[in-house]
Amino acid sequence: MRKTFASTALILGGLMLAGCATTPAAGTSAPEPAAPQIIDIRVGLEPTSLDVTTTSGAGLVQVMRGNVYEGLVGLGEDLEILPALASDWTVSEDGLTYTFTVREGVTFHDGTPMTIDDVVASLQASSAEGSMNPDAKRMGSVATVEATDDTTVVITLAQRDINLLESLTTSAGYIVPAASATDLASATNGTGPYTLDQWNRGATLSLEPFDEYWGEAPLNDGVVFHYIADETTAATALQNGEVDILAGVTAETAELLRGADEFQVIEGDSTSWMTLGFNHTFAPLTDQRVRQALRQAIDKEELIQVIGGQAIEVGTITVPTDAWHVDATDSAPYDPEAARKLLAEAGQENLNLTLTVSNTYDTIITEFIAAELAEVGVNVTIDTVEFATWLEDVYTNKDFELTMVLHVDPATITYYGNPGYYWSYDNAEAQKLVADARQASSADARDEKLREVADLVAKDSASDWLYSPQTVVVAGKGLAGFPVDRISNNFRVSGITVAE
Amino acid sequence: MTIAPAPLRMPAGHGLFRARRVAAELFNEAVVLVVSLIAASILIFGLLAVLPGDQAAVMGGMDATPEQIEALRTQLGLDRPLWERYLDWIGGVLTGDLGTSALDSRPVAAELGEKLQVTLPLGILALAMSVFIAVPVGVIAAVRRETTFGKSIAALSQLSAAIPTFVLGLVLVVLVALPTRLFPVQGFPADRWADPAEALRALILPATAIAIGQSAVLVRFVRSATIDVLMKEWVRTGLAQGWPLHAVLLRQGMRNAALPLLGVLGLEIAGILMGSVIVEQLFALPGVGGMILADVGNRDIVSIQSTLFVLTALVMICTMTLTALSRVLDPRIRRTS
Repeated sequence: MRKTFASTALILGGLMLAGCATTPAAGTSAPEPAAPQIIDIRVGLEPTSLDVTTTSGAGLVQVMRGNVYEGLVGLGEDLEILPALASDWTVSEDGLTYTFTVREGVTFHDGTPMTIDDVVASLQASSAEGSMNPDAKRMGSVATVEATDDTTVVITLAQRDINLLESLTTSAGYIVPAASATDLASATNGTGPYTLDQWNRGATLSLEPFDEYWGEAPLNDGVVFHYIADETTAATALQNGEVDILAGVTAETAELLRGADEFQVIEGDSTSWMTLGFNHTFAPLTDQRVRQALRQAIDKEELIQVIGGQAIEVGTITVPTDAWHVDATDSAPYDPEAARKLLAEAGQENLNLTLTVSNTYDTIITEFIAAELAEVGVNVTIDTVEFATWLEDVYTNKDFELTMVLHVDPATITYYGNPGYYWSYDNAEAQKLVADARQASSADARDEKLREVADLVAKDSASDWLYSPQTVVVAGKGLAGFPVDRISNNFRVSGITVAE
Repeated sequence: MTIAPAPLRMPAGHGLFRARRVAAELFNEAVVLVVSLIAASILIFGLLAVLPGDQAAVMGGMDATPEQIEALRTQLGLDRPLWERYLDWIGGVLTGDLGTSALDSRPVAAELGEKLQVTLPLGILALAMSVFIAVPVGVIAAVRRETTFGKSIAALSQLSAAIPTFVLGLVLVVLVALPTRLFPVQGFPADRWADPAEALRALILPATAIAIGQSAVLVRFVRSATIDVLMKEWVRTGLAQGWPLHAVLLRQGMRNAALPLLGVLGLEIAGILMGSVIVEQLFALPGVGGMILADVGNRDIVSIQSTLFVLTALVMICTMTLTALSRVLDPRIRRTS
């Protein structure tokens, strides 16, 4: 009902706009970057706290990573590792020793100069036993962090870790002052190109350029993140000129705004999977035939159409932009007949399952799944809970049968090697492959192992991967330099400009 | 045998007697208020204690290891017994300390103060608008109740009371904000009332969305209260003396009709608060409604408890003041116990 109203309003709004647009500037010459301006961006998730050393969540990463906080190295939009607080680094032959040359003349936002002690203290804190850092688990291979002189930091690993540099671009790698009076929960004190201007909780968070930034100054005068929960409101805010960019919109909004001349609608890659998780300790789901049957009963192609088409089929826990991508879409092709046969073989013709899902996702997805599974004789009860309840019941206490969640961590594939993860997927081969991948001597060797993991979990139907949603960014015609790929966890804003 | 003259009895509602009666009324109300607030605090605390989902799990998110979540629980004091947590909280509230949000370590009082700067003006504006719309419309609908005009107002009010607030909000955005560009469709100035005109502009549409629905309800009360008054004999007397109807209504009718309305207004305040939760979400206003929604999502229990308690207290105080006021204004209403 609500959806209908929302789209009616959008359509009405679009008509209004088309009718009353005064078509500014008859000449349609390419927009030229004018004087720096403040960029208004609508994003979905507001952080719960600003403390990057203790708080997890995509909302916080989006604002902070590379914008406010930096590590020794940074992550480019195309996943390349860039120099940041380290100007240079070398890796020893055995892959166990990383030596970083730390940049001089770096200043924290509170004005104090960054020293080698700050670097060592930050990395020691995030790699210490019992660290509260949300990315602490990425630092498991780190043995010691030491300064050998005023500009050199050496990280020694207990075992090879091909992902270490990437881990240093996450919150586990951010350099913060070893001692500071700043309360990081409500203020910031990093080294990035921006510093916090104001956090107007519940509405906006604004960043302003940091004058003493060591690198290139931002091309804009600051950015304001707008936390607008309602999709329709966000679209009308763009039409009314209150925001410049919608970072992530639904298929419905994208379709509507695609037709308007004054907006550019751009699709970006994303590294995320809508995952149908099986509890591997729950009796019939321990049987590979049952899991395979559930996968073959769901028509992914139709599901993607149902949600508006803004997604791609995957078939395993990789996406085409992953270096270790394998095409596994044929590992469980849609075939209700085969599904019924598999269930009969397993003696599960009358299977009752409960699907526990957070209310953050469109109910049309779970209803579609339930309807598809009903076709093959599996009776699914949908139990919709709040995200906080989901986190406790499903994620922490593992008390579920089926669940559906959007996995956004690019490293989700490695969780199939962790039997303690909420699926309780305990497969010795997968565990060995994941460990081998982490300790691989080269990126190619790692990718080879991960490809094997992806193939293995697809064959074993460890989960079902329903689709990988694509990100759609809508911006005014005059906007340039905004990232579109993987923006939910890497959204550098310093290059964004707007023409008058 | 001498017969002592009967003591002269002051009629109730006059002079000293009346002052004492008012004081007694207020005292009674205050006792009821305190008891209700204690009950409310236990209810709020109890409901939140049985709420599934745990703040430590939310803070840890999907990145945390079980050990990290256990450490967070201890750090947040979630492993302490319930009664200890209740006494801790209520003790703080009584001494004016609403606690600290465990998420961003900000005092709840400061946060609430910031949010009330949006929600209170929004509520007052919506209330004022609904009264300004409802009173004249309701009176006219009552006076002309036999005509088609009066009947259609009654029907129309029924209809607009049934339209959900968020639909009204969307309609206002599409029909007013987008074509005229006079009002923002979302948000509120980050520095609040530094520029009052801008702040007010941000509140006009949301307040209107709430006011239309609320006034539709109010119109029906005004209409029936006025009809009630029109039936009174003193109105007939006034008319017979040659007073014009509007003079009778304005001089005497309004005061009589106002009494039941005061009681209804008390209920309206709670309605407006609830409406603001939806409207704040729709217009992305950083108000109390959005704050509660976010806090519930994040299981920021201390913040929800204190905010709900303050809101409950505010509504109760408003309602009781209004009730006490109408008792004082109208000597016919007596306490029954």
